[in-house]
Amino acid sequence: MNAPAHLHANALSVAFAKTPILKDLSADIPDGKITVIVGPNACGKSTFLRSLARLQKPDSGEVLLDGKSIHKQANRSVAQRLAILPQSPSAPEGLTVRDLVTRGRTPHQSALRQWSHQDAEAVGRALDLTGMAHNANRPLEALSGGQRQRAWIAMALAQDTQILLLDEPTTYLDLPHQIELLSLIQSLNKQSNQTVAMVLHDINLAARFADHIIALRAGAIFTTGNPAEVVTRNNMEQVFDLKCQIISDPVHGTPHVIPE
Amino acid sequence: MTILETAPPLSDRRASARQIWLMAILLSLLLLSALSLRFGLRPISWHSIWDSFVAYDATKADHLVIQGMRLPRLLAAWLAGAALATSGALIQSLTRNPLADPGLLGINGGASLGVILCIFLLGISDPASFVWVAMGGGLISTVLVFFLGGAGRGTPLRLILAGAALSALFLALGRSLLLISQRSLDVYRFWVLGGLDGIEMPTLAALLPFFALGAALAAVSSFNLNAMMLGADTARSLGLRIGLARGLALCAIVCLCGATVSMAGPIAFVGLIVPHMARRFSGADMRWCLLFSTLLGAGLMILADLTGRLPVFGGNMQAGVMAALIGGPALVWLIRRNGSTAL
Repeated sequence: MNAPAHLHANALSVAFAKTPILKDLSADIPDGKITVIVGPNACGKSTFLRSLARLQKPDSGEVLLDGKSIHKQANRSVAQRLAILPQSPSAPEGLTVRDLVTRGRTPHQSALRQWSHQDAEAVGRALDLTGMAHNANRPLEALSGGQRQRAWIAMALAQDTQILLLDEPTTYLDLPHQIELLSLIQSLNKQSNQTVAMVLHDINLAARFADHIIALRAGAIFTTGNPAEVVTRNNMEQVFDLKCQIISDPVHGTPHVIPE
Repeated sequence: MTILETAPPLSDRRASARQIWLMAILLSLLLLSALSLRFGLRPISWHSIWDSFVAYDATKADHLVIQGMRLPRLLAAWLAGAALATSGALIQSLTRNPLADPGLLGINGGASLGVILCIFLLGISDPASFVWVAMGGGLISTVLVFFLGGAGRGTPLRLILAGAALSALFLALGRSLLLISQRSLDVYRFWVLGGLDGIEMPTLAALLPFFALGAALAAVSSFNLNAMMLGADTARSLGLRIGLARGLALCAIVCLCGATVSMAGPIAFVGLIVPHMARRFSGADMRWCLLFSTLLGAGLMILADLTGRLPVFGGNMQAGVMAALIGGPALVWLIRRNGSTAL
């Protein structure tokens, strides 16, 4: 794995057409942990993640990668330390899984030096880790939604970065596939100590898989902490306007929300 | 041992199929090139063709025809076909629109207007002097389209819309001038059909730097476009500078199409259909797609030029028209044969 990289948001403000989306938001993404960003629809979760990934330029404030503003660093150098999987990405028809995963090596290549031994290794490893090796030569459109999402994650893994950002990776997946995918991300995080930050809709899945939760409300941080600290009856009512009971998940011991 | 165990993985089979196709296409291209030198209004023996290369004799009519007319014509067909098809593949990938045509960037519209103005205002009717006017018109209109389309920050759709709007404007301006002046129309209509008549070596030599620069930029762009195909967000995440990558690809298109339109007039259709044929052989990898487009584009133009010279078509059908007559049915056949994937 690459040298440690650290991500920090400092007083971010973003507005779309004068409507403020993020307001003076500061947050630290803990190294080597899984951070999940939660909050109601339109609270700015995705915008926050996209800002962290330098896909959204803030109107004020900055994202610091290793202490330096991410927008002032060479894009290629950022791409060697930070990968993001955007929400529902699209690929051209006929693209095979191996082709896609190979594209993850782009920041380590150039037009003149297109393929190296490390590239082959990283692609092979990403395919193995995601269990996609036996599907490597199939075109993406021939795969199920869950497999396709794994292929995209394999691409992000082949990028071989210390930080991995995922924007709602479980969209369009049924519950078993959501669990399977998040378990995969969890085991990858445990194996390689990669820093993961992702947006999730489902608060119970967030509570189960996160080490650290950032709860947003109306473009600002409402609270942060470990699942037991964040997923409380009081917080859920204030963040989501949801009246609920919290029980302890009988299998994993994490907090579990039962809406009233 | 079962068949399954001995069969190579799909990608290996695909890769070797790709190489076999590549060889087959290269061979057909060489064969077509040879035929293109051999046949025409005046058939010339293989022996004389060979002699004209190794022992050129300016007093022999056959040698003059080969070296002075057919060879420049063949090279022009190579360059025009390859350049149009390559830029077609670039623009389709850049805009993620399978129906995009390099003409959409306003190059042809600008070049046409330049030529019409040149005939109308300056009274020039010698096609050789159209080269730089057409090039200038094409360049100016592409620069306009680029800035109207958001100068690399806008979406590809905005770029196409700006190009379509400006093309329509330029064509309308040009046509209104042609309505006024019958003399301009007479000169213009030969240019606009797209042909390889009367192209001489000095013209080719003067345009060669543009083709070379365009080819180099296209090669670099093929690497960038492989990432851009996954969407702007993913491409940025993979370390690409989107504005720069788009700019490079556009420069490649301008060089290639600008040089072609100034040499052979606005040849439509080649840039639109050849990339679709190329994708049948290349899969989703832009580097292979560009390579196949280059070869198939050259092949289509040579074939079009060759058949256009057959007596059936009066011996002088414009290559641009023939390319569409051959390419259209060929594409339909390919689509029907392989189902409609990738279209």
